[in-house]
Amino acid sequence: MSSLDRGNTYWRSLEAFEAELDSNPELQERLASEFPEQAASLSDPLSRRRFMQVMSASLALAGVAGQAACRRYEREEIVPLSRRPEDYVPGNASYYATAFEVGGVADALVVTAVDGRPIKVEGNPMHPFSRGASTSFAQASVLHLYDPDRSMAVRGEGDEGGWDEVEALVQGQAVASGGAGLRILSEAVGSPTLARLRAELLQRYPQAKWYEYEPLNFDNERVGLSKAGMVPEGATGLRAMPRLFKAKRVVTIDADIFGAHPAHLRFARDFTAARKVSEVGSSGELGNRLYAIESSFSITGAKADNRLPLPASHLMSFLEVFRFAINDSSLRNTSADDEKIVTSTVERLAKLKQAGEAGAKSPEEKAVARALAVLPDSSLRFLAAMALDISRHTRESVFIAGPGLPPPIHAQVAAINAATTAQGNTLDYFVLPEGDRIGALEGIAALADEMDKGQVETLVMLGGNPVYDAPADVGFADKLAKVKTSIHLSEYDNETSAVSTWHLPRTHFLEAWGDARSYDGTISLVQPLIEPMWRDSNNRPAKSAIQLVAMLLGQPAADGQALVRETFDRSFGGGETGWRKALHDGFIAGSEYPVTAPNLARPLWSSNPPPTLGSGSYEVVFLASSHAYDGRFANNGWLQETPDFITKLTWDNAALVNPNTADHMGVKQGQMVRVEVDGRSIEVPVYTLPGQARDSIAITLGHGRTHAGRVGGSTAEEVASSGFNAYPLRTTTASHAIVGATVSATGASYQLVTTQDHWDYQDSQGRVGVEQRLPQLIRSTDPAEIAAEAKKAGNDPAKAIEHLVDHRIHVVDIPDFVPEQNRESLWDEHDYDKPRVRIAGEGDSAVEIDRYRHQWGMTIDLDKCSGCNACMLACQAENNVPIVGKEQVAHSREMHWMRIDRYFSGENLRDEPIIAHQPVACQHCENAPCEQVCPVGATLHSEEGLNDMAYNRCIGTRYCLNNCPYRVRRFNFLDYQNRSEAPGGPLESARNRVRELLFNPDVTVRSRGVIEKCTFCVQRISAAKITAKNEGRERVNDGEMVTACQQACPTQAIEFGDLNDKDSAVSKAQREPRSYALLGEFNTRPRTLFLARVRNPNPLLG
Amino acid sequence: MRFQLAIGLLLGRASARGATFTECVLGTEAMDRFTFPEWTETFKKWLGLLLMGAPVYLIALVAYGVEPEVIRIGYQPTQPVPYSHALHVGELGLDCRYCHNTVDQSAHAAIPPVATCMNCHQGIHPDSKRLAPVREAYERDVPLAWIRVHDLPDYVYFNHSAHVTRGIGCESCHGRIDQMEVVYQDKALQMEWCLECHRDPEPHLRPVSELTTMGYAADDQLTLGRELAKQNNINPPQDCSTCHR
Repeated sequence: MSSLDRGNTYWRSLEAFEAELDSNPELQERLASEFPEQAASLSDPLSRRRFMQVMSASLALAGVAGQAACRRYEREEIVPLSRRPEDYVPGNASYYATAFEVGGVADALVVTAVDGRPIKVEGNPMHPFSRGASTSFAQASVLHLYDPDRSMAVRGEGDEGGWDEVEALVQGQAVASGGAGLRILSEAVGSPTLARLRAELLQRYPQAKWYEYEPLNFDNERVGLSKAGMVPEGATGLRAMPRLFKAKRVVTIDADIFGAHPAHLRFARDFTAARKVSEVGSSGELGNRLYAIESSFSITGAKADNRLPLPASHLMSFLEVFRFAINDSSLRNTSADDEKIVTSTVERLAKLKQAGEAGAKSPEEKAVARALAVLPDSSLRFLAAMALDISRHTRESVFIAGPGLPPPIHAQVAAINAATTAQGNTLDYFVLPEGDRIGALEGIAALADEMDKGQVETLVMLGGNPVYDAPADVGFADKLAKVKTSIHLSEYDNETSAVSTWHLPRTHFLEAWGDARSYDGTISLVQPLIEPMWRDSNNRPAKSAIQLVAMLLGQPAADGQALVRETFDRSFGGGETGWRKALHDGFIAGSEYPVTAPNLARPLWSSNPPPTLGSGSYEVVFLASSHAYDGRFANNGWLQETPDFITKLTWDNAALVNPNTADHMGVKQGQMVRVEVDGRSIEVPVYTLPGQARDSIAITLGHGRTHAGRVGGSTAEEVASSGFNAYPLRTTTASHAIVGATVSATGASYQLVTTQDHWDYQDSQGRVGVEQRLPQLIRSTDPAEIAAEAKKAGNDPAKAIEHLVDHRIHVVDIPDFVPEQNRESLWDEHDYDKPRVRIAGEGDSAVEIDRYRHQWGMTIDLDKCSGCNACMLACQAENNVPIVGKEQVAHSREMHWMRIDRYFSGENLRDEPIIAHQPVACQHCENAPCEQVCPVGATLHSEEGLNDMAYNRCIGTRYCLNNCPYRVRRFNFLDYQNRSEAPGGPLESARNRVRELLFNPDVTVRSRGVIEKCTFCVQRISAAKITAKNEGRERVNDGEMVTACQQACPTQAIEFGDLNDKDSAVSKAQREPRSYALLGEFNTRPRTLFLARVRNPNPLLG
Repeated sequence: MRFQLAIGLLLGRASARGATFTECVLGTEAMDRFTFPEWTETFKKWLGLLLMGAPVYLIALVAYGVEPEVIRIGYQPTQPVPYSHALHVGELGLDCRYCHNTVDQSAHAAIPPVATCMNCHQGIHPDSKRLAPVREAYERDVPLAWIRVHDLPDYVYFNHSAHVTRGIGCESCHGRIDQMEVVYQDKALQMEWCLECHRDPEPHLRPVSELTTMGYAADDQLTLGRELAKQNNINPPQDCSTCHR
């Protein structure tokens, strides 16, 4: 154990690391055993009994099914349409452009439909902003369409009423009062049509008011920039748009620019493009460096070259000190040594800190002294080194603040961006339409106030769930009771619907017409792919938000398409050609927000001292959940089961706490704590996360739903909520972080299911062997190392990297003790690069017939990969991968074909860990160990190098799973689609049959007892090959065959294609010096190669 | 001990106080150590039946396994409309692709919508009783439910376009449709049958112009087949994932 260099190895979990550290044999044993959780479940009498029950019941069922199946073929019907529409070819996929809006910001999509069923969502490659990428939420959105828990009918007072009554009601009340008692509460409005209708409504009913509320809104930036006096004449509001493709230094302030940020798709693509990592082989340098200053570990923090954990309430202090430091002339001293400059800056700051407020002369210095008081000494060096780096890259650096941070921070960041001349170079400002409107938090508070005073007679809520997610100090639920008529339009009969007098079903975005704007303002048309799925007993379908507003305007039968078309015709010239083009492309070209040159930000110095944390007082930071966002996706099983990138938690959230802080609190992972602020409290389990800022607790929002549905939690259906609701702690003034929280252990504990220790590698040396091997598996290097190595290799960085990465996959790294004669490969050499030849006929008439053979291969660039999970969800949607539920995930039985391994490393693992991550799916080894052990030949190699899986042959011995060194095979322990404990209920219950419509018809739905794994999307390969051959081509063109994960990747980290084509993107990537094979020493010859990560840390920060 | 029990059961000699046969074979000493318990008596009377039943079961198993009902050659369900391929294809000479027009674009050779029928039958036999379901479906705009004849297991992904565009004629898999009053399954459609052709396609390759010809016979099929195979690089894959995915 002591032989391990702890700073340089990787750990799946803090637990694993500390098991080594403490030589805890029990923990070590548990982590080393092959199926730890499973063994435990079988020795537990209760679950064993349950297991026997399930087994005997399913055996009995199998018997019945066997009887019925004796005839082998069931009678099947073919039901063609009576009139087939033109261009419709049954069984062929068609593709439509549309858009998906979250929080008023649209993702442009292309949706695949087969026989009228939308089954797969992908990004729109033509879209100028997102360029083909899509978020994990967009990927999972199609599951909502077929969610049987969606509401189907109008539910009025006394559970009665239909759309006719609604029409009469809304028109009657609105008209009668002239709108005096009419209030509309909508989600953030991005849609130009909704904005148009809003204007019309307010014109017709001048006394009516319209509020917008979005729990995770982007208003603070707009407000902050206005307060800093930046809004130029003629404009009303601004939005910052960092241009990361130009930036050489990027600093994020609690901004998850690769995850939760609304523009993250574009940021991810621009950042990776600007990093120019594939050129590191020739130059030995990288194009950019990312600093992340954040309270909780985010995807961005994991990708950062330098990261500083700092409580969210101290970020302003950091920025103030930074702005002070960057003005220091010593930074511009070119003659001095870098190290000296940094040391002197740190000393100067330390002196100021010591002198305190008393020693300060100007208000500026006073603010800095106050700020310095809360910053830990260790952060000063970070600050100084960063300041030096930024001062050398003025015009090439940019600061980005998280959208949720309070307005003063946005103003401060804008001031810094002005000081470093980012503005106009690496940073543009968009002019927002109606940029002076009231912010979401002020809006909901004002509305609640009006409701309290009885000024609201009719409240129409267009979507949203304010009863669940409004700030706690607003008391929305209580005040809603005072409103005479409250109408809630929603896809689900949720918490707000439950206490409203009317609930109206809302259409899914794939069912209705609409329009929306992406972050840069580009307008997308939302076109439906399917008629509304649900109709009430009067055969009336659900309505969209624009249809409901049209109803208020006296157009009860308004057609969504007509409404959108009207906006289009009025604002964008109109015309049938333009409309058709916009529908086809999915966006209106040139409709982005105009860019402006704003005024320089007024310097703002905070007048109050920053809050002190520690000694029993903590801050709580509210984050978007990767499972549920703000709660709206809580009933989505795909999202719930996809492990969070950082915590690897599934089906839950937790209070993320630094391990040291947890020690101070006296709590351990999985223990319940009561977090209390200003008399409001929640109970939540603790998750100890290395790298979390000390004294800062992060909790994701969107969990603990009581009316989400049968997946996310429902009291009516007696389904436990996933996770815990953090909204009761959130207030209008503290929507990002709240200070003054106290924490006490309740004594209870809770099972948190995290996949961080699942599918760990096995080694005959046990844990030590695994830990020694891990640095080989997750390889990384940095420019300093490359430069040092390049010197040795005659200044050739490519050679240096090659050496560092040790990428030679076919050269086997054999231990010394193996005798020379035993080092030959056990395998026959393959001739995959040759065409397939068949001799037809015999003797003289024999003909040789050859055919080109593609050789499929993949590369995953670890430097580009941001770990956003989009690939996992894309894979799940494409390949009919089931969800298994929390209790099965606890048994390490999750079925995801692709997992994203996350490792911690570093000397100071608890406070300053580095995260390395690696997506691992089937590697499609040429010498596949799994194929050798299958007794029934269910997994065999194809001539194109694919490791095929024939489900109908598999008898479930699981030998292949045990023999796979990469641990990528998944076994269907149960009939996951159809068992009674399946999340949301079994598929074959009458209510759930609708979910069958989502299945990809080109992929087998696997049953119990078979193994499955990544197929390299073989159904797409087949389709591409057949298309090519039908068109008379022998080869599939490079780029024609795209796997689901590759398509979804925002950073284009995945390349896939034909290795026999030496010019294909994947061949080029595989030839890069950074490429290496996972466990190449086993001579498995995997077809997937990884490209080593290149970190670019500031050399002064070591 | 298990061995003894087996012998005892086979010979039907098990009794409460021990079996005479085993006594003879193994000696009384062995029997001292073991006597069959009384409850084994109940098995005795079923034993003969079991022995007699075994051959019947085996024969039934094998017979059923190769029965056409299982392999389905000749499967001929009654369709909702008595449509005659013999009349339309055989006598009138309609091309297969007039109705099954997606055969070269899609995995499915789509069953035509009733609108296709009505193209002709609005004028021809507009009042025929046998066409009543078609007319009704057309007028009410509801689909007709045809019964699938050529039914592959759900884990098999067959693609018509991939075969048709490479010169595998309709007849090769569907038989002489032009002679079928009611369509039946002519070929076994087993994996072995598929593989036969994937290994050796030459006997079945035709010029693309002859795809729908029924009863097509080349002068020298093998030479033609080789020519076409060479010309179009026809070298069918035999991987699992070719059909299963």
